[in-house]
Amino acid sequence: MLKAVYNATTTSGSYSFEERMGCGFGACMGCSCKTKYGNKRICKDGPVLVKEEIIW
Amino acid sequence: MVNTKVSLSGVTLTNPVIPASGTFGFGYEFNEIYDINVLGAISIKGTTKEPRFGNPTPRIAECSSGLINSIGLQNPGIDKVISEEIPKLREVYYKPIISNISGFSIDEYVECCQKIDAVKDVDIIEVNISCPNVHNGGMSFGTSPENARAVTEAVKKVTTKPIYIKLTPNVTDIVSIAKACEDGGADGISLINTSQGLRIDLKKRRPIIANKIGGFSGRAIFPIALKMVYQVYEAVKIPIMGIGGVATAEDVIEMMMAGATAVQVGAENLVNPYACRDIVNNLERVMQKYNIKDLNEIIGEAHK
Ligand SMILES: Cc1cc2nc3c(=O)[nH]c(=O)nc-3n(C[C@H](O)[C@H](O)[C@H](O)COP(=O)(O)O)c2cc1C
Ligand code: FES
Repeated sequence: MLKAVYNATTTSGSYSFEERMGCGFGACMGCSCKTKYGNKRICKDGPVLVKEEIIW
Repeated sequence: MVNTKVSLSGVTLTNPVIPASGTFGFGYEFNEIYDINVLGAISIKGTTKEPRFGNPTPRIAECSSGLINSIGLQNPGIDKVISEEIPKLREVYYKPIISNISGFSIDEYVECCQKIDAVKDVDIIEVNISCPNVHNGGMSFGTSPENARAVTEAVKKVTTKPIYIKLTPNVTDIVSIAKACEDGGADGISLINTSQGLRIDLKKRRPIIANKIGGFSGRAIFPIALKMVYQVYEAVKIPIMGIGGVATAEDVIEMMMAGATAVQVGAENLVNPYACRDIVNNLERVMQKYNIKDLNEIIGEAHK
């Protein structure tokens, strides 16, 4: 759904992601994702990413 | 007063409780929620020669009494671990550090162990031989005594710190592999790494974990780990770090009676982030309950 919104809009914006988590505070690397600004953890560095950094 | 001090190859631990590699980051993350200096030691996240992003997500699936993980050794690589992560841990933590090393060839193990051996702040090197050997058709180093011994001998040649070889339980005969490590010069054995498991998402009708099968651990595997520690204790003279399903101070004592000199706690840190601290806090009380004055007296006592 997030991806559909991303593709349907031309404005910038913030996207709130979900992921299955282990620790929930940045220690287990269970929830990692790649972004244009490097690897991020949804639990600690997210869950909100800006449109410009998202890699699908 | 009871004695909770134990010694691993000359490294003294104020208690035998150690968070297991991969479940405790580089340690400092947990210092935000409790004082990590209550721990006996810390085994930091598995490190490889090159940085790794790891596996696709989802990487975690919950189970009753345990969880499946498929992190795929995400880590910033040995050079960054030495230049950034270990110094960051050292700023907040003055107890022993166990560095956990993984590799996909003997050369990678040798290179990483050589580099980490030169780091003053590292007390013990734990060599995880559960990952696939890319030069050997992807079979894990830890599944054959010959490969296990070859890795052990190679890293022993380039190191001065105690080397603990961490074994996978996914083998037919754990004893022969532990013995091969001892013959290869290992200073100790860490066992066990994760078993294997699968969960399926009923709505999607597909496996939960992106890589489908993952490593299964947590309370459910405690009897399996205990059995392996018990068997290996009878066969080797070097110390054992008992790992697998440990969640309470009673579990620590049981693991030591089976033959462990120290004990690591993995998945339980993800269930209760205070798990290790709680175990340390309960340890003396449980020792008194069972009339144990010195933990060293119970190591392997179940064999007598
Ligand atoms: C999320 C997660 C990550 C792990 N990462 C590593 C690792 O990097 N290196 C390693 O040797 N073991 C790793 N393990 C295995 C644990 O250190 C431990 O051996 C295993 O989970 C069994 O203990 P437990 O039942 O207490 O979890 C990991 C386990 C989990 C749950
Ligand atoms: S859930 Fe452990 S790092 Fe995000």
